[in-house]
Amino acid sequence: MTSNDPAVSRKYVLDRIFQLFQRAEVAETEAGLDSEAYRALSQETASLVDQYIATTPIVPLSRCPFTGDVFSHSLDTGGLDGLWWNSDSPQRPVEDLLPTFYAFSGAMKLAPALEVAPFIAEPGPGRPFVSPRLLSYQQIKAVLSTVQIGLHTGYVVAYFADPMLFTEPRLSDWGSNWYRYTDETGLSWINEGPSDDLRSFDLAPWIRSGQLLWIKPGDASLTLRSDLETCPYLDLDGPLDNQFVHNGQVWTQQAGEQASESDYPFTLEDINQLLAADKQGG
Amino acid sequence: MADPITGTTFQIPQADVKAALDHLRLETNALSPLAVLLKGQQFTPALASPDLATQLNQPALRQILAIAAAPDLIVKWRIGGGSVDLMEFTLARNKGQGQALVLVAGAESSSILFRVFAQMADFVAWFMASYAGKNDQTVANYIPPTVELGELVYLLHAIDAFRIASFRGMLDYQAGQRPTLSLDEFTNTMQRSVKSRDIRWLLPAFLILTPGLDPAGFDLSADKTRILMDKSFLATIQTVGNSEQRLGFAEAGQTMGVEFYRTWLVAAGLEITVATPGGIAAVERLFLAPTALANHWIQIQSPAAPGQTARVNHQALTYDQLQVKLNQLFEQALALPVVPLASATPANPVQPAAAAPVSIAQSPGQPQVQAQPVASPSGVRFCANCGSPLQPGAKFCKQCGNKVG
Repeated sequence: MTSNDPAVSRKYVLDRIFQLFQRAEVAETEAGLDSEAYRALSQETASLVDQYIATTPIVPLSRCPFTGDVFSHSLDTGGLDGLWWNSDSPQRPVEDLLPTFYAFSGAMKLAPALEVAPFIAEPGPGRPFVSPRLLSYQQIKAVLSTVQIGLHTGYVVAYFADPMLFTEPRLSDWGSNWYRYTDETGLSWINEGPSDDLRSFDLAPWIRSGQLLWIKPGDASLTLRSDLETCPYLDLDGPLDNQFVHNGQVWTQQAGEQASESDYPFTLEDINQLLAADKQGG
Repeated sequence: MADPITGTTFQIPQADVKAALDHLRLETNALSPLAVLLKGQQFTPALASPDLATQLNQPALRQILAIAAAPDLIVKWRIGGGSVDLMEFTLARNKGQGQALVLVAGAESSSILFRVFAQMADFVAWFMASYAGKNDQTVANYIPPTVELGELVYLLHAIDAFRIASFRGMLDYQAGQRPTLSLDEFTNTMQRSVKSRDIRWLLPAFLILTPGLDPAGFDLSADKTRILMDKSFLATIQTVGNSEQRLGFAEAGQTMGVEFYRTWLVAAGLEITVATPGGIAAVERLFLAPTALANHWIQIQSPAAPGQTARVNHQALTYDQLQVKLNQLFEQALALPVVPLASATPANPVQPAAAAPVSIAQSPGQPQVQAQPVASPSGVRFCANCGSPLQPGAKFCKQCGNKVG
């Protein structure tokens, strides 16, 4: 099925992928990984995942405080049921990042209605924060902005460096356990960000020091601001711990703790196995 | 404070420079700061100073003049503002002569000063020690990039408007009152400020000190004043019983106003011009305003196409950040491909000078070389453009048509 409405197409693709996950599990149990049935399901799943990635938008989210260039990043703004938000195995297009881009983290104020998806989404704590470790470098600045993710309010905290810093570990990309960067040789790498980082939710000192700038919610021009008096991000409430969303349920956990996967119908291994089987067969 | 740079310094009487160039068979090109300084000046046909001919045999002086006469990259500097009078100098580089840079300045008593820096990093270190704010903490950047050039003009005047209000409050013995103004007062003082060319104010300092600003790049239409509110420089104030809308200084206007009112002493503008294979091009323009809190860096971004609006990138930098940024800026410019420029003046056939290749970069501790200033005894004038002798009272050069009056 295709639709001119991206939201409808997205929903169809995701529903179909989730159905295929279920059927693949059955096929694996009944016929085995080498069976034709399992392979056919894998092939269709991989094709739909490719379609999902291809239609995930690159969204203007922030602005570099050193160059003024707009920072865009892939983001599934349709909701936390998109594979972009699968924290263990995010499915994301690879976009060109700004030369001054350093890290991309975030937080989310969740709406009461939560998406149902067979994987864990990890949108961060319920209010925005910055990394004192990164901002201890004067060459790094962060920019806080807002983006709507389905019914939820996402807080994007993008970090930029000038001159670029290569020695300090970065932060995992928002909603994932990985980050990507381009080093001096131009190669892209993916690494795991430190999970036990200190977080600072008291934003005023960072704004005052000039290391955190902000963008007004809904400001399509992404104008950078530095004043405290009109900053709307200072007195937000929400959980300070990481939030985990799965199958319409949410729970919180301190950063660095491992979430139990025992109750999930599909594990990360299941999904990766499914995708790998298609590649082998194809 | 002791100057951390030990460089070669020469001072040559302006009237003798042309003869010195002829003596060394050097010709000025279109980028040469000497051509500018010598334009319209009277020259001696031969070296008037008995010592200068001897000194011109020094390899260091020969190479300094070679760089100053035919650079492929120059940096025009204007320094002043706050409480410092305007001064100008040009930094010249000739890639064929190595990494050294020669600072050329019109000195008092009709002399031209030459000062050598072994490399650009040495010049930056000298500039930093002389002019940069010594702050080591970052502060909020209330003018984050990028804003239009016209918008910046309004923002700079908002800072001046706070200073004006503060001075007025002081003169009127109005301690503790928060200053207010109307939009008309704001625009009127802005017009007066620009016309005054008084670089003690930030806006005129920016306009005068930044070389090569193109008035066509300014859009000062009324809608640009919105940035004053958007960036929290000014805010509307509700006043009881007064129909006129009054404006007060919001967080950014108050903070930057106090910063510049209390701690701004000097500013600097620069333009980097390079003889590229595509022609002579200004590749960077920058305005710097150091205060006790930050080194304000305002980089002009020329429009990508005619008709587009010029924008600026403002950063509030620490001392270290400014040093890194200046070095980066110059490194990029120095790395640009260059071509030798044809000379603007024909060489006069004079006695050839010894031409042993030498380095003019002296290590710290070496003595400075100082030429003795000489009087200019001759009334003969030469065209600064082509070097031809001029008739007494001539307004134009007969050879090249250059206006010399």
